Amino acid sequence: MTTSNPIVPQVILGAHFPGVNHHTVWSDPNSGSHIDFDSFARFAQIAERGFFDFLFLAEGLRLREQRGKIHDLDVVGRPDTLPVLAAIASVTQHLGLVGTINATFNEPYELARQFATLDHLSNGRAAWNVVTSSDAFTGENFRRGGYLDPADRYVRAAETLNAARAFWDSWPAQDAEAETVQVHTSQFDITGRFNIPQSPQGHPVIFQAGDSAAGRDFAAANADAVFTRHGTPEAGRAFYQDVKARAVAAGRSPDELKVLPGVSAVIGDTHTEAEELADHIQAQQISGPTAIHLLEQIWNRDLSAYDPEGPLPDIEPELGETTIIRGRARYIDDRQKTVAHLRKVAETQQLNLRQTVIETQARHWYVGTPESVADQLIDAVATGICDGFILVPHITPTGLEPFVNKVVPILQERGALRTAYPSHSTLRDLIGSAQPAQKVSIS
Amino acid sequence: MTATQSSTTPFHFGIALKSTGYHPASTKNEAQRQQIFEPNSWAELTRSAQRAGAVYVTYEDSFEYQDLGQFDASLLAAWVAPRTQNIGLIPTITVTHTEPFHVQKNIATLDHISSGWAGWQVAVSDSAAATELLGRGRADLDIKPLYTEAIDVVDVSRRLWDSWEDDAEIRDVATGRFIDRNKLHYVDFVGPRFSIKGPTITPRSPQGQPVVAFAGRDQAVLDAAVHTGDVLFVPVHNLDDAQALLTQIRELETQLGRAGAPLLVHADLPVLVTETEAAGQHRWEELNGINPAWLNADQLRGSGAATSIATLVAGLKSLGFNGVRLQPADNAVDVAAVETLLAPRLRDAEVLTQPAPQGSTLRGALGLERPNSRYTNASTVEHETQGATV
Repeated sequence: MTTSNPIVPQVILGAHFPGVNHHTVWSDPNSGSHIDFDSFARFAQIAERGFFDFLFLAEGLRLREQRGKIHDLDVVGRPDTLPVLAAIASVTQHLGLVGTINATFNEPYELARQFATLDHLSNGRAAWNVVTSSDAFTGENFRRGGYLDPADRYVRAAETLNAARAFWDSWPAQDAEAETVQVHTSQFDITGRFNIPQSPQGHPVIFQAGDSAAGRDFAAANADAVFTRHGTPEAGRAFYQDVKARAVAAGRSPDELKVLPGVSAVIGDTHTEAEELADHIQAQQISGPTAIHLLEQIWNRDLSAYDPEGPLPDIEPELGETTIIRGRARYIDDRQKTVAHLRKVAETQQLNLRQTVIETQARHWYVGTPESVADQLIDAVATGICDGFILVPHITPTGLEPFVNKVVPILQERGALRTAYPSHSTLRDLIGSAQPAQKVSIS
Repeated sequence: MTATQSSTTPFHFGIALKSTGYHPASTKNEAQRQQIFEPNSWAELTRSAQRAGAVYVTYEDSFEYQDLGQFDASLLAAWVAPRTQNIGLIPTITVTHTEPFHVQKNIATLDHISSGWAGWQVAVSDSAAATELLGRGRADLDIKPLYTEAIDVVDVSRRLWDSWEDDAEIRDVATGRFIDRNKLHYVDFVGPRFSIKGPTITPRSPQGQPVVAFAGRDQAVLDAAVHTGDVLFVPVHNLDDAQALLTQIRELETQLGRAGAPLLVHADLPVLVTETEAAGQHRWEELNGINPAWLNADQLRGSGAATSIATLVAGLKSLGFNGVRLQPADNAVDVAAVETLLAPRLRDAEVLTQPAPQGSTLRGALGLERPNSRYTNASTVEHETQGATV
């Protein structure tokens, strides 16, 4: 499929080294360590060989529990995000480094120091995915516990980011005067001097990931890029239009906010081969016990008595606060609606519990021959579904190799991806993000 | 102690890195000042230290602005790690205004990245400036309660480092389990300033317990180091004072009931290294002409010909010190001078232990064993641990 637009859009590409989730098929013999630095270095070098814009890491604050026990079916254990990004900076030259760090169990001055340091160490490749956390469960590992009212989490995030921006701007160059920063807001009462001169990007690139209205507004006002779970054409396009409109309402131009869904790509020599491989991977990702665990997150109750090869639970979901799973970012906007949808899918397609989960819970997959996948990706960007993709492989560190070896050359051929990194480019240069967003006050 | 005995007793040196160097005059040159924010400069200094045979470098840091500014030392260390090997990387991380959970996973990750060469120099923040940068106010900035809190931060960090047993990751396909959850432990630390549940998010690292260092000779620092440190860096006034201080520390170990290996005590030694005494005298006058700080402070220093500094170091060894931490007057000159002039003299004088073999760790290089997790064979019942009282 070719686009009707004669100008082929640039496709932004991110490489997500996954942390704790069921997407990694750790039982695959090619599945490597999720803690050895060598895995991260190799993964980053593969992405850089593929001319990706950036590598992406999430963050860990507390081990996930389900039904009161530490979850053991998925990968558990990860390095701390910022030091591992600093080390990856040391073994790469061009790849952007996106780290997820929450604004709740951190303070702006320290985060500003750490991201300024990372930006200097990497020569302008640092990015901060600003997320929030507010639950008392996670808080049990931190000084103030669950101190933050969930209603205030994006207030704090905005104030944190604005305070960090004030620090980043306060010492423009080593031989210039440094301002005393003053931040006196609902969350902070800060006075002081920064100890790092402004870094190559001025401000690190800012990402946001979080689907609520408050999250979208935060992204629209403050972020350079948003990592979304909406990767299917229909949901993706709706999200894209929604956040771009919010950006405009916040006084920005729509292309100042890049929309980047998390997706998987499966390549085969033929379409059938690719489909079979995708089915196989999905079946491995969603075992019977995993299917039950995923449904428990929707039903918000213990479903261990149900048979994964049997029908969906006939009981109703437990509404209200999430109790069954702790320590996992998961947004279920309407449990009853979700359950109704699952039941409809099961009935229409004659699927058992596990099959229904496989059918409905996978993020969007691009499946096909290299040419087909390349065309689908370009088409999605050309037709307003997104501005690029954050690819998550099902094994690490080598899982992106088929994509890098086979799809990247076609993207390059089509003019949708760089054939060389510009010398001395920052991450802002790579993804086309200009000046830092203006400070926005949150009332 | 005879020379023969000295040559078989473990004795090491490290190099302290901060700003442009430890003599204030080292900041005079603008090119030098720019090196503070040049990552490659830190990598080069570290590699020079490693070639010299230093068993570690420390990277100084503070919460607030000091000494013309600095990178976050823990991230600098993580960036340097893939560029070096076989040398301890010991960043300073403060504990007064930081989250213990973040600090411990940061150091554990440095240990993974460096394959077992991570350390942590613990420091407190007693300044009003630091408190105002955090912005939550703090009534008591007295040294003693700050170090009591530091003991708790190190204590909970050590527990979190143990909260994963070494073999917790099992990748058991038959039962579909990536980990054996019985080998993960809540730490349930309860203290006056914070409580932490655990487990940590990071699997047990190559050293199991990264090396924990303290610096200073205030009684509160000595107490903290004896309670919970592996290494202590102390400035000394002269050799008599050094001897008295070491005796005091060993008595404190008995008094506080320190278990396990004795505290490794390294004397902090500011050094200005030249080939000849005359050249040493010249540099001494030049630097102190710019800034007389070193003239006035009452601290034992190694200044002048490398041979005389080596004699001084041997003297400290004969008193029973476990090593020296050299503090170069001027990074641009003295780190290289340690490598080319001083280290060979130290080897000639048979002062140093053999360099660490490939594949060892900082603990191994310092003669420390690798402990198993304290929770090995523990039941899954939670154990509540009380923090130190203020």
